[in-house]
Amino acid sequence: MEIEVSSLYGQDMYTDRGVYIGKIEDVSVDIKEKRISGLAVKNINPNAFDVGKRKGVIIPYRWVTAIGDIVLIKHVRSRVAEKEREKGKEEEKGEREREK
Amino acid sequence: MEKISAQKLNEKMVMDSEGSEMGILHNTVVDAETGLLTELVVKPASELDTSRFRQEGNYILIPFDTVKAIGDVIVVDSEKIQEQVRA
Repeated sequence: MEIEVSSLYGQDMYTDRGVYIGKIEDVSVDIKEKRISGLAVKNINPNAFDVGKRKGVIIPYRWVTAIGDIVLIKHVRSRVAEKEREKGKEEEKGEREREK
Repeated sequence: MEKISAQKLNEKMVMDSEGSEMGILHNTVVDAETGLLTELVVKPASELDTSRFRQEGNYILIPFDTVKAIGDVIVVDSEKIQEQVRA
């Protein structure tokens, strides 16, 4: 399917598991490769991405799985969730060691 | 400077490699699956013979693989365009 680049601006981005990521603000183009390299996303869902003080993120185009009325990307585990999971694992480990 | 914001591309002048102005870039067409840029949507300059090109409303479509360089202006290869038109 061929689309005009400007039709991407303002589109909402979700992961394929339905998690909201943000709104597409701009498109990054690789001139040498003649292809889209990434999508600049703003209005980031803080539960999906820990962006800190930055205004947005650039999502690599290879993560994109579908473009229609919205844009879908592969589900990425959020860094926040990852940290919590690691913390959980460490606690589990600690408990197991205590049990021994 | 290989990566550039697509918003900055729009409104750039499109010239052929012989130095004549073709028009102003209005939009870019991509293949949604691959992300490959396929076409330039150009608002043609008034002196340009638009009958050589595929048209879409008031705009003409120029195949992206004829693009030679992108800097302050976009340069497309005149010879390649000739070939594409003949084909």
